[in-house]
Amino acid sequence: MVYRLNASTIGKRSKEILDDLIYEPVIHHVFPNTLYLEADGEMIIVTRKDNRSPHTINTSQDSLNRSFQSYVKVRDKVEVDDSYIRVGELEIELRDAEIYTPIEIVKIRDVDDSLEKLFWKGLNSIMILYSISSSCISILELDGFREFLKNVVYPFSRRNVEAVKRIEEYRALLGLGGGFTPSGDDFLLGFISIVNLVDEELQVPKIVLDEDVLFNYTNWVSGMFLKYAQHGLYDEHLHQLLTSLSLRDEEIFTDSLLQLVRRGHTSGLDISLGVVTGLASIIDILKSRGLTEKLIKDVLNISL
Amino acid sequence: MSSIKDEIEKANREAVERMMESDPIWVDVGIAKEKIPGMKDYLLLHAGPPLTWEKAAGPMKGAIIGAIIYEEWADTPEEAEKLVTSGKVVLEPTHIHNAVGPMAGIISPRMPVYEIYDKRYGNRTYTNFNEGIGKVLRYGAYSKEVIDRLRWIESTVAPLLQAVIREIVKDKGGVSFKSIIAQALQMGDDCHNRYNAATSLLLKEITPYMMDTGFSIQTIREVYNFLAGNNFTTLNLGMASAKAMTLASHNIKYSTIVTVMSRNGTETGIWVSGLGDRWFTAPAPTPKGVWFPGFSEADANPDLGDSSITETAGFGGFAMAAAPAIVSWVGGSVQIAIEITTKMYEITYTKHKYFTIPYLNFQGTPTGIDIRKILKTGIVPTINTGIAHKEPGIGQIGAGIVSFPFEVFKKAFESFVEEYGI
Repeated sequence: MVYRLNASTIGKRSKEILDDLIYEPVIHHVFPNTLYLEADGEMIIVTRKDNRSPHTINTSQDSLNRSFQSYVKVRDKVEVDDSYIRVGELEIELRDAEIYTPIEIVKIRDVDDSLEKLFWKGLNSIMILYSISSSCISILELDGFREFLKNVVYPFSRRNVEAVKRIEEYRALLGLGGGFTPSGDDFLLGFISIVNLVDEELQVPKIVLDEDVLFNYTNWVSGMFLKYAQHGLYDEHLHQLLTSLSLRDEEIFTDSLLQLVRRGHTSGLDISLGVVTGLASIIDILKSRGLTEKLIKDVLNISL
Repeated sequence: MSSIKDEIEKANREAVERMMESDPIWVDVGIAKEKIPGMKDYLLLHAGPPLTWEKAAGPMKGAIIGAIIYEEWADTPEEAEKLVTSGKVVLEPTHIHNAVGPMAGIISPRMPVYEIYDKRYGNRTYTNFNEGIGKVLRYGAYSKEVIDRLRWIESTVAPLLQAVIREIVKDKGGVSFKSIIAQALQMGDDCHNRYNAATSLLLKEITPYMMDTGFSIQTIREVYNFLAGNNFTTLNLGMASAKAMTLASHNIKYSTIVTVMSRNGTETGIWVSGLGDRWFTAPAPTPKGVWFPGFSEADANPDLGDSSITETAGFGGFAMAAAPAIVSWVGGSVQIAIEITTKMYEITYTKHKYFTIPYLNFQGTPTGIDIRKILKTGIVPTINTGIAHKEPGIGQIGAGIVSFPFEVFKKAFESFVEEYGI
C-alpha cells in the first residue's frame, strides 16, 4: 500500500536538481524521519523535520508517522515526476510545496564591540550546554581537535593566513568523533561557514577543501554538507546564526543558537563552537583582541 | 571548560541531593501574621511572580477582594479595590516569604496557616488551608458563603488541627510528609491534582488525636467530614513540603536546577538555584482541560498558582504515570500520563531516591529540572493544574494539563551565562 506524504517546502537547490535531472536518483541513507538521496552527484534531503535548507524537501507531519525505514532501503532508485517523487511504496507529493530560497547573507565587512559581545555570549552558552553531556567523549577532549586549534586556528588568528591551507591538519579533523556527521566535521562546518562569510576586501583567506580530501576522510553526507557550506549553502538555523552575526542582532543570535544546539547529541553544539571559534579568529585577524588565545588556553585548557 | 562543567555538576549534585534528603514535617498550625516571617497587617501574599492590581487577572483580583473582605478591611469589592490601588494593601509573592498557596494563593495576616519544618536542613515553610473545590477564594470567588467558610476554618478547623498537631509533635515530632507523599505515589496519587490516598493517610494519622483533643464530638465530626470530604485537603501541605524540599536546594552557586515554578494568572515565573531570588517571567499559558458542566476553554483564565512547586520537587505532573486515575480529572489518557512522566526524565537531573512509580518498575520520579537540558532539548516541564474562570467571583471551572513557556527558561539561561560565563 502506498504511503503518501505532502511536501510542505522544497529547497531551491533541490528543485533545480530535480528539474534538470539526468540520472535516476538513488537512496544513500535512510533514517526513520529522514532520507538522503544522491541525484546527479548532488545531495537532496527528504525529512519530516522542520529545518529547511536549499537541499531539503520538508514533508508535512501525518498521524501515521511511519518510519521511512519500513518503506525504503539504501540503493533504492527514486522515481521523479513534475509533481512527486516515489521510492517503492513511499510517495511524496511536491505540487503544493513552497520553494525555500534563503536570503543572501550580508558579508562581514568589519568587526566591532557588538560582534565581540556576541562571541562571548555564544561561547559561554555553548560551554555551559556542553557541560550537560557526561556520558560521551566530546570533541573538546579529542586530540585531533586540539591539534587543529593549535596548528591551524591559532596561527590563522595571528595572521598566519597560510595556516588554513594546511590540508594535512584537516585530514586529522575530518571524520573525527562520533555521530552520523562526525564532531570534527560539524566543527569544521561552522568554522568554514563564518570564515568564508568575511568580505573579500578584508583579505581573510577563504577555506576551500578539495573534494578528494572531503570524501576520502569522512562519509558522503557529511562531506556534502561541508562542500555546500564552502559555497555558502547552509540549513536554516545555521543561516540565521550567520545572519545574526552579520547584522549584530543579539535576539536572533540567541534564538538561532538555541535552535542549532538542539541538533543531534552534540552536532549542533559542535557546529556552533566552530562558528564562535571562527568568529574569534576573524576578530583577532582584524582587531588583534587575543580572543582565540583566550578561547584555546583559558576556556579549553589547551597549552600553546 | 572542565572547570565550569565540574562546578555545575558539583552544584547540581548537591542541589538535588538536598532536595531529595529534605525531610518536611508538619509541626504546627498558627495565624499567618504570627507564623510567616515578614507577614504584617495590610500585606497579602499571592501565588506566582510579583504582580500589580492593574496586571492581575480576574480570579486573582477576586481572591484579593475576598481576602480584604475576610480581613474586614473593607465591606465591598469597590472599597477593597481602592485599598489596593491606593497602596494601603500591599501585594507580595508567597515565595519570598517561604510560603506557597494553590491557585491565587492568597494568604492574609489573620488566616490560619500550616507550618512545615524541614528536619534535615532546618527551614520552615507555610501554606494556607484548603477550602475544597468549586466556589472558593483561591479560584477567585468571594461571595458570602466563601467568606463564611474561611471564617469557619479560622474559628473551628484551625484550633482543632492546632491542638491535634501539637499533641502529635509531643508524641512523635510531627507528621512526616515525605513519607505520606512517597506512600501516596504507590497508591495512585500524583500529589498535585490527585491527593485521595494522601488525604486518607493523613486522616489515618490524625483522627485518633482529634478524638483526644477535648473538642466536642460535633465539632470533631464537622471538621473530620470537611477534611475527609475534600481530596485536596492535603494539597496545601504537600505543596509546603515541596517548598521545603526546593528551598533546601536553593541558592547553590553554579546550580542550574529550578527551585521555583509558579504562576499568578497573568505571568509564569521561575527561580533557579544558582541565580537566587530573581524571577524569570513570561505570559502564563492557558491549560487544556476537562471542563465543569457549562464551561469551556473560552471561560478559562491563564494558568495560576504555586502548586507547580510539586513538579519542581519531583512529583505532581512529573509522577502522573503513578496516577492513571488522574486523567478523569485533568483529561488526556493513561498513555499520555505515562508519556509526560517519561519525557520529564529528559530535562531532569536524576531519579528520585524515595518517590517511585510502580508502573515504571519502581523507577524514581524525574527530579531536579535542569535549565540546560530544557535549552538543549526544547522540552519544557508539563504539569497538571486546576483551571479558574477568567472573571472574578466565579471559581473553578475545570482541571487540565499545561506546559511552562520556554521563554522563562531561556531568560534564566541567559542570566546564568552572564553570571557564570567567562
